[in-house]
Amino acid sequence: MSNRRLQDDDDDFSAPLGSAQRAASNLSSLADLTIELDTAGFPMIVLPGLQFSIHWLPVTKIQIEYFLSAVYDAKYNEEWYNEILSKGTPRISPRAIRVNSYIDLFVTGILPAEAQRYSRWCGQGFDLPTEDEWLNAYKVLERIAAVPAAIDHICQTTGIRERTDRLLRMLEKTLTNDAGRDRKVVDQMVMRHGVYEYVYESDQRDTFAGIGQAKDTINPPRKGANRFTDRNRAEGARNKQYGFRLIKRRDDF
Amino acid sequence: MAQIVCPYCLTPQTGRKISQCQNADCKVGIIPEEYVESVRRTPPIWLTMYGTTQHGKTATVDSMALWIETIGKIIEEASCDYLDDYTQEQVRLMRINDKEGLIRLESTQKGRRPLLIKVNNIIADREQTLIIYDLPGELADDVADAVEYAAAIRYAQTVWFIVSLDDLRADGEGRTLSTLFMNYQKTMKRLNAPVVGRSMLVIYTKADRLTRLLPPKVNSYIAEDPYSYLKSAPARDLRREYPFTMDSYMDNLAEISESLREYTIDVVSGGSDFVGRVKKADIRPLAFSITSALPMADASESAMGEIYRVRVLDPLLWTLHNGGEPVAKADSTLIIESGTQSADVFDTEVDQAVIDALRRLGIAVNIYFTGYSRPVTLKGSDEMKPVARRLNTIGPILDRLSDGERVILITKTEPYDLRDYEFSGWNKRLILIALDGTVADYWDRRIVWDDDLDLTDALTEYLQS
Repeated sequence: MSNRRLQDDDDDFSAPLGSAQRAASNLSSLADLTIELDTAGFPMIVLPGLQFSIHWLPVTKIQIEYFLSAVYDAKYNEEWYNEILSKGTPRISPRAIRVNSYIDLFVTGILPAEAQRYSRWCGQGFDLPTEDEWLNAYKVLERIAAVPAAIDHICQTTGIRERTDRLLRMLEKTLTNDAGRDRKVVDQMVMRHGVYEYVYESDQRDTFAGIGQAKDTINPPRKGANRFTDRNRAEGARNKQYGFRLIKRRDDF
Repeated sequence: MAQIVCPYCLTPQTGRKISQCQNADCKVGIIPEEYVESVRRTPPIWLTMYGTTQHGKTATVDSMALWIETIGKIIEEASCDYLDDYTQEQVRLMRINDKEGLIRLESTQKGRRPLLIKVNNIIADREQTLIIYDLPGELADDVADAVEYAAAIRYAQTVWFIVSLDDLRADGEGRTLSTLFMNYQKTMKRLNAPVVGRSMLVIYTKADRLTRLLPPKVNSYIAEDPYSYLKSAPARDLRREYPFTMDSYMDNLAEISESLREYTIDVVSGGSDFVGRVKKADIRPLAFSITSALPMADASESAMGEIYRVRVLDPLLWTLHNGGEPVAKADSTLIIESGTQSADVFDTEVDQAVIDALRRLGIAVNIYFTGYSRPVTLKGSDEMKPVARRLNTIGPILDRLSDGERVILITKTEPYDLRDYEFSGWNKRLILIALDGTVADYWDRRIVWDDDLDLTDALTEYLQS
């Protein structure tokens, strides 16, 4: 995993986020914001005061394809992927996304246990967040005005791939076109107007819930909003509105 | 299908029937039939062991070779084969030494001759061939000696960086982990072998001498090795009490690797500099393991009553799990579909026609199947087909190739992610050979396969423009 700190002296980035950080009590300094890449080369950000880094975006189909190319597991094959696509959303090339289709970038129709399997492939420390962890990150980020230049910074991270770079830029462009006047970092990160994201209901990490705000729904993310009838989200309950993003917990933060 | 490379002189071989090395100067000459058969089915894992004299390289490779023989006790249906007479003889000597409680302190590998070992079903349904070079310890100190081993060092994707921390602490030459790595980098530079793209496993040997210095978590891990008595323990007991699953074993390895990384940074002399240098060199992944192949051994006392080996499987399992293709530079990459329609690709033998055409053009290729990020396994006698149907994707391969590299893709169906590369540099560097004329007609450099096609001409047109 590579990482890079955003520097205070960067003119494009520091001004907007620098002013926003004052509103975010946990974000004490721009220099504290660090970018890391996950196993598939997709960005995660570290938020000061939180004991984890979090994916910039929900997990995309490209990341799942990396996973499928690396694991030798009878379950995770072409048939499984096609089921995900048919019960979730179709695959789309990053350059083809539009306001009404950017959601297709993200993997949906996946089950929580499958998301956990993906997290294990990503390595030690990667996991689904708990509902509280997700909401804590959300609360920090919803107070920060969107920073378009952040994408340039992320894309300059050592190790980021051309395809990821293209996806991030195309998505930002698309989301900007779709933006309201009060756009926040949570919108850039598709923590709202995205998918319901799997989280653990509690620190016990044995049952799951959905958090976030699916595209074209109106209720903002809040605790307990998407409890499942089937608390463990059993096999067969694939849903095209549900995806996930990972956090990476670290003890040494 | 993997390209056959002579394991002794590293010369790529052509044609279907391979027995005599096609390099007239090869010092061994005969390429074992079993090796050829095995490598045809499974691209091999090239492994070099790098480290200073007396740090435990030879003991590590001996332990691994002997433990492989009994791994069927842990993993049902797992087994191993030695692929040439030289390897069989070396392992026979190891067995005799082991039986007598003797530890080999120096390699008897002659010249640059490797051990050729095929392991079966350690990773489920996979055959994997290991080509292991135990490089002389002097290489770590004297770069000039490296030339003789140049080809093997250049070819190896995986490097085992063998270090005895106890010996390093007492080192009279003032060497640190960082200086050992700098020597490795110098060696690679001298051999014009970029380190980028290789993987490295740091193996801390002689763990028994470190117990008071290691973190408690690592000490527990060493003390609780369920397989330390692998030779004498009954298989039934082992499988019942310590059921083996690769996923959980790799999870444990990853955890210990992380602890050792932190330990390296915090405690080992030159450790933080080492980790930083490896990262800067873009060697990935970097992992750590710890073994004890000769507890209580002393350089002056090499005969003991019983040899007790701890965690010696870890490096082997890590390597098999992480695999890795040789990184010796080929001109181009050939990707063959392994998805639902792949049978048509192999039945029509388009793959062989393309390889022959490229050979006529003097182009060497690294071969992949779609849906794999590294060379794939073929199974049984059906050697022209991938062992499992995989997702028809090319991204995990393309994204890892260097700028300017050319790719030839043979496919009957459109890869899921081909459009991700439309309007990118790949539109000029990827030649798509389609078995179906309707596939990816938007692709700039596309050849539609036909039995009457002059493939050499068609490829030449695109390769030269």
